[in-house]
Amino acid sequence: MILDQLLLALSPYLLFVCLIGTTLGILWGAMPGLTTTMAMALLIGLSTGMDQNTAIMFMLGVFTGSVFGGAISAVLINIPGTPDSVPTMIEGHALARRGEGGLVLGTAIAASFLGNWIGIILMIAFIPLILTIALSFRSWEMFLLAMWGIAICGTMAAGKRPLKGWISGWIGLMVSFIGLDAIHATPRYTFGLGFLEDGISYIPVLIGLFGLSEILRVLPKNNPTSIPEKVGRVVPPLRTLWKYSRASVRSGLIGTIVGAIPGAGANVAAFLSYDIGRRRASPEERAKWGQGSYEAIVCAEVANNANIGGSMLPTLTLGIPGSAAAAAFLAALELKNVVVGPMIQIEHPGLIYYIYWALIIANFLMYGMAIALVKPCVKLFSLPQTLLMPIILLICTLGAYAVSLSYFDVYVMLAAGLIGHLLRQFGFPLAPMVLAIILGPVADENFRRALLVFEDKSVWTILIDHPIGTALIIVVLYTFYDGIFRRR
Amino acid sequence: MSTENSDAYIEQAKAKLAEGFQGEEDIEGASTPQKDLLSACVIGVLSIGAMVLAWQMPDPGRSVFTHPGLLPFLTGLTMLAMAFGLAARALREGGAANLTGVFAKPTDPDERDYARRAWLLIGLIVALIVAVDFVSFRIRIPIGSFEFKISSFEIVAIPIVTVIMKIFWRKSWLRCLLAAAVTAMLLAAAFRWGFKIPMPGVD
Repeated sequence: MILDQLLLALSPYLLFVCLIGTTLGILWGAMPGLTTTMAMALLIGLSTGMDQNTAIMFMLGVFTGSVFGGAISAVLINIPGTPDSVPTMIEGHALARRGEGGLVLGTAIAASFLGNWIGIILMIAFIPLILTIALSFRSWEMFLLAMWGIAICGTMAAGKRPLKGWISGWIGLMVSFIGLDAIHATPRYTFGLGFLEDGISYIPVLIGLFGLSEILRVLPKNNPTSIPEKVGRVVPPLRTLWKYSRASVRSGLIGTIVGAIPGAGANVAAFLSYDIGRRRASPEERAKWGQGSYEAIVCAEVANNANIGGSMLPTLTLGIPGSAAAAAFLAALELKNVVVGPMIQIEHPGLIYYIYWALIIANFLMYGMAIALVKPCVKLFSLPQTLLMPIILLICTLGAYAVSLSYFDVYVMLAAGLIGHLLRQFGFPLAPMVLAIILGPVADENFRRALLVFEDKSVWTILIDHPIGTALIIVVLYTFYDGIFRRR
Repeated sequence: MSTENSDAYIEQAKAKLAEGFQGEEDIEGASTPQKDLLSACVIGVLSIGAMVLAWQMPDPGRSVFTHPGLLPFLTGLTMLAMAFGLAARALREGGAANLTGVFAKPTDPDERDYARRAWLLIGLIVALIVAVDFVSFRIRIPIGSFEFKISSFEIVAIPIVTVIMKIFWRKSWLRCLLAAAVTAMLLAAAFRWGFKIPMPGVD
């Protein structure tokens, strides 16, 4: 089955689609202000017209390409294309000014390639294990897992103010309750409006929160145009990576683990790995940090790319997206009637292998295209955001409409964009809300089912009979405790 | 970006890194105790409203455990507790002082300009989305076996995006019109013929 999926993934058409996706991702990521999540959210609409395998290949190509793409503008024009490229910007731009731009970008490409490999290998190694555990999950465990996903996402997205992250998640839960309930078909929060009975689809919400609200944030700013540094010859220095092999492996592990935690994406991975790398660096190397260190670039780039594989772990095995970009991937799969989770191997045999191969192919193509695209990217920087954002506005509109050919979804996208803009102005993160809208129905249905099963049981019996559930209760409580008391 | 601006940007980024764990989304700068207090009040009211509505939901089942309003009620209750927590923290940080300042016009000219441009953009986006829904328009020109189509989407999007580009891109009307027209037509063509997705409204 593994080989069948490889042969399928290697078909010329799918390879071409992956190449297009990776190229688009690199160019997208390189453009300042255009984030990976935004790319993924907008692609959901486009992917409706593709078949399942094409959509997966295309989206994973874009995911892989755009995470690396941020490094190009970070190094050459000192504006991080994606937020996770800030550490690369600090170190890389200082080196680019000394005329080492080509070498820095080469290092970033090689580190990204390695990071992707570490993420993919760990993903392949751990998916069977997590699936085995996940298959023993019942309603109670699924409810607790969904609630933990929302809580940890709130903590990770909001940083020092987890309360705001949790509130964002709880607002998302409220939105997910709109419509007919799954057990009795009782209308909830519909206010007698028929069009609300189907509920709010999270795809237009995702497009609104990460597409439209980003336009509202970026377009009114007076951003100056930037002059790129000279690039020079781009050579990925494998010797440099070998020199920093310990830092590479450590950063890959950090990136993958962080990726597997819902809500913690490439930003947390890159910053955490950069910070730990600085503490672990030799004194002479540490002195270079902040002034232009190749080890620092390796730490950040390996981690943010390893994050892709990590974020796929909970997404594919539990149906809980590891990051906002992974949530968009999940949405695209759902449009193809693919429901991921513990039953993925049974309900969609072979799909998981196809995703492995798609990620591996995207990584190879990213490596090649990154080297080829660095110089054309320099020309792209002359395209101002003020020209690009109105174009993206049209893609948001058409993308939201394309999901179910309903103009109501476009209004949902508009409302989500405006609410997202307002929430950002008041310092609330947006990822927990999306995650909660996805997980809300899972939590609700499983919670009520579990309570019915537990109707005649004592609390002690439940705690003893469901050790995984009990462990999850402790984890959920610890997440709240950690957020309230330790991050003060 | 000038060298001076570039250095300031780098220093800002370094300072943020030095502060430690920032979270996945950069929200720290947007928050003030006044904003937090205000949002806590709004969230508190919403939570109470959600709880009341959840309580009033009919229960067709035999047990409270299957009540459709059970989890919405509990969610509202815990959100109310979070709103109290947020309000308490905001009050401790001096949020009650100058609360109306949240609604005051920004004193910084750059911020004022940003707010004005943001409102203008919101107005144009709302106009675009509402107009695409309500304008009914269709042209079909048969060219051999191919049928060239222009729908209400292109007719509405081209002028509104031209205005958006004129305001924010600040190039000549002609360049903005050309850019908007090419973009709208290409996107419509890609969706209509590439992805086989009909345009909203009349297509």
